[in-house]
Amino acid sequence: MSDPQHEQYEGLAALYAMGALNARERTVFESHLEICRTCVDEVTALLPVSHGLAHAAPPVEPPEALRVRVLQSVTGETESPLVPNRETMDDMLTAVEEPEAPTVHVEEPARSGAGTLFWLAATLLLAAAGAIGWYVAELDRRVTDLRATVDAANALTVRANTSLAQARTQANERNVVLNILAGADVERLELDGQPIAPRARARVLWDSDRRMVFLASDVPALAAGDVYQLWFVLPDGPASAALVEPDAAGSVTTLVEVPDTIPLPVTMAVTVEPDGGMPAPTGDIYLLGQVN
Amino acid sequence: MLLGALIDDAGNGASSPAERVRDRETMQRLAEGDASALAAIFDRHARAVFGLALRVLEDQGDAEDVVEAVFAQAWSQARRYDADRDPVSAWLLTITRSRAIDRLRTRQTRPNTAPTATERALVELPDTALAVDHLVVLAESATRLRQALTTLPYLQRMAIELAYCEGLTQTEIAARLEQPPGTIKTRIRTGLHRLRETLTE
Repeated sequence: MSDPQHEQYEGLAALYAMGALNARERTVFESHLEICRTCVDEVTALLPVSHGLAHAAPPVEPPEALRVRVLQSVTGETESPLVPNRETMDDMLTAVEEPEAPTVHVEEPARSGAGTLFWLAATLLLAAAGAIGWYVAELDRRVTDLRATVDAANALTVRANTSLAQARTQANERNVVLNILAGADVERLELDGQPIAPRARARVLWDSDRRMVFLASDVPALAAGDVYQLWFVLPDGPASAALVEPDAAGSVTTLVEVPDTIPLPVTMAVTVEPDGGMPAPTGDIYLLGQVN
Repeated sequence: MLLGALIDDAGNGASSPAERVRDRETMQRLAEGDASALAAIFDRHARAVFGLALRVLEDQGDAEDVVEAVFAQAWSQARRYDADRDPVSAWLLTITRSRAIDRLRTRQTRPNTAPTATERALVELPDTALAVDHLVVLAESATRLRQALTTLPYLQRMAIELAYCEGLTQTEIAARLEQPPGTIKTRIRTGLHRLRETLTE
């Protein structure tokens, strides 16, 4: 079943599959997806293409140094690069210890005191750098965790929405079928199996809103490349009503759109046609229901 | 080629079913904190991850940082990886795209660093020689998708690449390419359907 307003959403399925809708557009389109099988089918068809784009970038061999860097920094098996100031501090240590660079304000007797202070300061700095390194790593871990959760949730949401929309579309169709069948104003036309399918039976029901459902049973299985086509048989020739596919048990339940130009009741027939259907019937008649 | 096979291939990169089983075992070891497992995952998937990061960022240093972030995330999130849902390559590439787009947006807040759409177009043609140089064996579908992209008209390809590589919305793509949003919508739709047709032929 398609949303009567489908035209205004034309083209949005592709943008949705590409993730190219903004939040508001996405919300509106997802509401439409719940009632439009055409759009659900299009999204389902295009999602693999959009996902496949990840593999369209040519693979490139990373530099060996990057491998070393990743393995060292990530697993922390050797010196952690999360303390980036280490070199600078080594430089500072070297610079301060250079005998050529004593500060003019420091008296000779005071050197040992200044040295003690320096080591204390250096120890505190190293401890602080270690703590900052740990803090940065912890923050990084938390952000990474959050991002992974969001990534996974986004991927799941798209899939869940598509599955949900499919399920809702089917549920909506069933509801419409049930409403038609349960309506007080329902009218019906019986279709009988023709000599090529003597056991087949079908029934068309419609209500005063011209909502129509086609039900069939014991319909023979189709050869590959064939499809059953339902026709409105009008005085000036047949007009296609729907393409129908029986399930494994040979049963069919499908909604049929009835254009305003079709008078009801109307004679209806089912023929076998090449896949995709034909503008006019060409194959054998399997079911026929005539209006007296 | 059946679309189902494309989905498998697209999710699977160039790996065979046996390699996928091996990936799954390696992810289990990674979840247990085995550092050698990270090396194994890196060696199997870093080319695809680095390739995608380079494609999005077009900057060696930025792409290398993204590779590091991706494998850091793989290391810390290995327990959350669900092998029944995604192949490892698809999982890593999803993270890669997300991290790379984050980096791209950060970089674009700095002036004069983002290449213009035209500059990007000039360098975005897939370089098949590069792949040969690196002796990379590609999945048939990945190669076909790459080739199919190059055959799309300029606007279709640019619109799709800006959506994928930069995570831009229809409106942002329209502004970038100086086209009406309706044109972008049509180009993306036509382009995606053409890619799908190529892959299902």
